[in-house]
Amino acid sequence: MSTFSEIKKEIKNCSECNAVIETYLGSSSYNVICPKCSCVYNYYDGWFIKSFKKLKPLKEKPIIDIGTIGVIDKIKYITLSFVLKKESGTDYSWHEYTLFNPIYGLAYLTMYNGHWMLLKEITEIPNVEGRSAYLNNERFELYSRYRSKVDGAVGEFLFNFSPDEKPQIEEFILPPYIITSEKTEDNLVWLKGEYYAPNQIKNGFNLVDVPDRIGVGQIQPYVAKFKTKFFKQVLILLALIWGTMQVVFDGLAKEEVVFKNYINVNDSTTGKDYYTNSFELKHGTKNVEITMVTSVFNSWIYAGATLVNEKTGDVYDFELEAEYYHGYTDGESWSEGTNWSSKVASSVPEGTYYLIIRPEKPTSLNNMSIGITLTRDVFISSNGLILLILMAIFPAYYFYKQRKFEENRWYNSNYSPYED
Amino acid sequence: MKIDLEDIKALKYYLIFCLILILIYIYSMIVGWRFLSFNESSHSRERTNTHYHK
Repeated sequence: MSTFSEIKKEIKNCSECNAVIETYLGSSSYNVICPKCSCVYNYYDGWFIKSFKKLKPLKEKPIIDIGTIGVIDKIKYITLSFVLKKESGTDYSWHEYTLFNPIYGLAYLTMYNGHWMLLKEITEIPNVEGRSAYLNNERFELYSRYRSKVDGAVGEFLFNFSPDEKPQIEEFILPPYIITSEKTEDNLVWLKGEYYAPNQIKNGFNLVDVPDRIGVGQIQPYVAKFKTKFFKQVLILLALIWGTMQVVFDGLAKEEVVFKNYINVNDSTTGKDYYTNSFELKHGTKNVEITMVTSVFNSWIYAGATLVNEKTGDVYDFELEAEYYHGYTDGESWSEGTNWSSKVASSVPEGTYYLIIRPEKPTSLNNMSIGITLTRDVFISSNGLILLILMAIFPAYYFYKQRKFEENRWYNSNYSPYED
Repeated sequence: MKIDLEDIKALKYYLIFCLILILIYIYSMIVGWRFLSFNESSHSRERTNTHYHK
């Protein structure tokens, strides 16, 4: 059989319950199961023979009826069988539909909690090392290890269907992919599967409805709109751009000291204006940083500084306050405050300027010398930090959600990497 | 590095957001504008720091 047109529906009647049994591949099939009484028939040398096997009646109806033709990834399939499978010793059960295409062969469509995946047999044998399996240089992580059993079936099978077997299953995941090994006493089969959204199955098979998804699927991808790998590459690129900008702007900052002097603050100069000589601010429109350094101890000192443009009269006011306290409480040393203060005025045009400084001190403080420094065009590291924080908000949210998603994915696994 | 156009489309708002931020950052560094300097100094025609009460 090499084309879809060669598939012909045949009608048989069950010799036990007289129900209609539809087959699509005729004697190419190995077993056929009656939809009503679950008797197992064998095709043998062209004969349709009832065997002694009989399955338990199906507890659930298939979502995709036997004989339904559907398309997944542009490949047309006919649905040959439905098997209700169960994890041995637990209540977990899932649907497995056997699909057939005359050119591509068999595929297995499974559904658990509304999550679908399509599995196909592979000829490569993955290399299993501990809890990992490697296939084509890709690492899959062990998700589950269990024995499966058949809890009911209907349809036809191109292989010897053995409902009593409880194969050992090992599942390794790399969302949206899975590789799974199915080991029986005399056989080992590897399959590779991929996740499909419910709508892809609904539209592909023209179904009226499919079950809603519950929780996070075993290989459900996190956010389908862009790939995490690409996003990480974008973030690396942004980090490189950010780092380069920091180096470049740090290198370009002139950090030119245009004024530096010490002012003596005593009872006669406190609260009085101190005028500096004129100085030039160059390099176009740039910032200026004014710094006051003192040796204040258990007290405070203040300086109101005004930068005045001689030509335009524009003023830039700064409030510089240094206070530093130190002591012992309950035998413990403590300190608070600093004995220096620094402020920045942004975007100050070039020109000739002078400073007016009005220092103030408390009466309890004796003579104190304060050092005032004015620096032109300082590197503003805080801008880079703010840029970094703003750019990191979305990635932080994205990866936080992704981690929660992954934790939910692994919730039902005994091999979760997220458990303590 | 193979770039998928769909990935870029899906990330376009974030990429535009970053581009705007980077342009603002470059502008701020060229003109010496410090984002957090609102309280540090005041620019006007008159002095405002002539009285201080501790």
